[in-house]
Amino acid sequence: MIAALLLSAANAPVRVLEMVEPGPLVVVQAYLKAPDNMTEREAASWQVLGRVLLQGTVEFTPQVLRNYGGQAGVPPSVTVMPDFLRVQIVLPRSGLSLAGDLMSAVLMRPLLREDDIAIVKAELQSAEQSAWISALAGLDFRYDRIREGDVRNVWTRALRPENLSFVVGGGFDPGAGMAELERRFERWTAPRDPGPPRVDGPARPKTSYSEPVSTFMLTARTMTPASAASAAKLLAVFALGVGQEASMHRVLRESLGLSYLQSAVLWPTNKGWTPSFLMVRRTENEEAKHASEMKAALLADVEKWKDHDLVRAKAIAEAAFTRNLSSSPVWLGPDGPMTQSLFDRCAWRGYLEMVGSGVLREQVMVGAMQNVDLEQLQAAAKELLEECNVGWVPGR
Amino acid sequence: MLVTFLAALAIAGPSPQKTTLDNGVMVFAERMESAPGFTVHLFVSTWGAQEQEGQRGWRHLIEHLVAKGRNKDLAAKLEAQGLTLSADTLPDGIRFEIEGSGGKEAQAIQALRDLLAFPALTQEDVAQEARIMEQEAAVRSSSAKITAGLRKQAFAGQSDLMGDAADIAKATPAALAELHAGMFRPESMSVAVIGDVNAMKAVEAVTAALGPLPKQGRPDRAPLNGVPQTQEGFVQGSSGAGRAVVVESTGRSDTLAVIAAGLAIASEVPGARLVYTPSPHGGVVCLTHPSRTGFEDLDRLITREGSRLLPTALVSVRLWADTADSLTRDKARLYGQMLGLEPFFRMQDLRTRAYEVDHAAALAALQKFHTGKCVRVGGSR
Repeated sequence: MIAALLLSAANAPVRVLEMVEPGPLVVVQAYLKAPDNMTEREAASWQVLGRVLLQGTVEFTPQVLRNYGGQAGVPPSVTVMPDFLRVQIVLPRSGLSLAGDLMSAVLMRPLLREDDIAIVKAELQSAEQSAWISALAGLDFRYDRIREGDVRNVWTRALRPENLSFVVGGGFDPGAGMAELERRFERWTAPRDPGPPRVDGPARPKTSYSEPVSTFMLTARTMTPASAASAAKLLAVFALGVGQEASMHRVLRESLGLSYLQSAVLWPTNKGWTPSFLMVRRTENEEAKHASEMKAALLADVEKWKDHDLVRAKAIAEAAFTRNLSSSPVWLGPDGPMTQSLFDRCAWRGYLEMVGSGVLREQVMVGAMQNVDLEQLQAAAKELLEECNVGWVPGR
Repeated sequence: MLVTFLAALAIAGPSPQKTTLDNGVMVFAERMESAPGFTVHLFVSTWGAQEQEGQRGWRHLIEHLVAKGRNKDLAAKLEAQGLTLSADTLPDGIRFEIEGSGGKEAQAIQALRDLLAFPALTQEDVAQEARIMEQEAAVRSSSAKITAGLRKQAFAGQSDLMGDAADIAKATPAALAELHAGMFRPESMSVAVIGDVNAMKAVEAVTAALGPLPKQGRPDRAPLNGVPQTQEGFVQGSSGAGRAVVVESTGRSDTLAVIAAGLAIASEVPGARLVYTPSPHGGVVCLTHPSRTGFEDLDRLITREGSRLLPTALVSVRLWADTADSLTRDKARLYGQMLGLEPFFRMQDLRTRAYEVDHAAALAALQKFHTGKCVRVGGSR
């Protein structure tokens, strides 16, 4: 499917990955990591930054960005996660150079105007994400005190060569994607570091949700996709939480009748996947117990796994990495599982590159999981569940 | 060259294939060379088997119960082979999708039989599923609530597909079996198989699986009840906003123009999303926004800057049609659903008409999203 996968040389000013495959479109995506250890103010500013980047640049008005950037029918977009963002420009294949111009302008010369920031803040304050996405993001963003200077500072701190990588995919000549981006960034000097952020506390964890929907969540330690030790744990994620025969669906929904929505998610962070097992319910009194009940029920079920659980987990894991799987735990942003679209396949390769797993191939990952036996699977699942933080975000 | 071509044809089979079985099941199968897998789509039209007063949500309940399979082991059997099943209740019917890869389409098609028999149920089984459905209703996303609210506003008298908890609680296995028998008749079924499959063999497999079902007679093809309205309303428990335009059949030029206009608006208004529910007599193109104020500026945009949106509208609807024609799930959904409702539906026609949408049609369609012409809802806590 991937006709060519090329990565720019190590001494290149920026990392550019090419995915050449014939087609009418060209996709240019940029991954930008957020600064480490952001303060509460910075974490909220990062959310605002992602949404204000497309509100005009030094050379392009927002309308020009939309009109020229939308010529293939896909408007420019920014996917904002708590610790990284992904900018995407999609154009007809003849528009590679224009895509490079637009990308460069959005990243390097955004206007970040106070008026636009005020509008974005108002929207963020009035439109909360779904309960489970809010719980997965895990932070309580307070936007009221964010000003232009805060947004500009977090942008300046993030925009360093080591935080930035690109993917160019679709129908273009091999090497052309790299050439376009390297040309724009070869003389790039990162903006002057504004120094440490103003004194502020750490970002606050999400402790409640504005609607009567509660999320119960087990959160494991972050792991990189390429980690050799993660094959059994990765398979355990599928055995526990992916599909209608996974433990979560079978036990939490079918046996205990606790929930309609329960699933495993490999929540993407800039350091790797954070496996999360979540269950969403209508808020009720004395509900806190469900989080520990959930963990106990899953641990008890792991003990009962048989060979068919192993076979099923392997089959579903292979499906998730080789075709569209609507219940796949592999997410590339807050909008749900990865699909096999060109955009998502580019985003997937770019994500692997960002977290240092760029050499990983799906077949290798699936192959490693095929070698896991039942005993290893059960041990990995128990370890995964035991190490999990037990969390609960109550609704109101 | 000819030998090579014939050899390839022998492997892949002629494609696409479309037929109606003797008992009335409609079948469409198409090979998509580059697809990474396949989708088997069963659509069961509920025209002529509408829920009666006091049965709101029973169709949805039947979907939940039937999807477990006759012996409640369907998911186990499918997932062991890497096949996955999903089900949805739609305004016109219920859809089941089985997806997979690696030449397992015959197993997926065979599994359709398991979905057709009403399972042996106890009253406790029904009650347990009703409790799960209550949870489903409670955790419905804001966008889904807005879309449901728009449908309700658009078609006065049509109930929310999610159903009513009090009505669902009254369901008994016997009463559900009776409604099921009225719905699950071969004359109401259509099957689409799309992907890396041999189309001819797929049709043979569907014939073997569903051909033995006895004829029951074609149900009354009464259109969905409800009269299109232009109204405003509120959706409890949502923080968003929505606008909708009622459309007719999927392949009509004016429907595609409305989709084009909706896509252009969604591309212009950050956060806006387009949801199109096809139906020949109750189709609706919904724009939703997660913020109550998301469409506050939309009338001005349509009135003063509508012409600026036209290039985006035209290119977006073409991409939408091209994409629907290139992804197995989207294409199977369209064919599965449309065959049952519009037997002469053809993807080629839809694409042709998408490319024919012009500036004038798109501009006229944009005006339909203006206050006073469209259906509007706003969230209310």
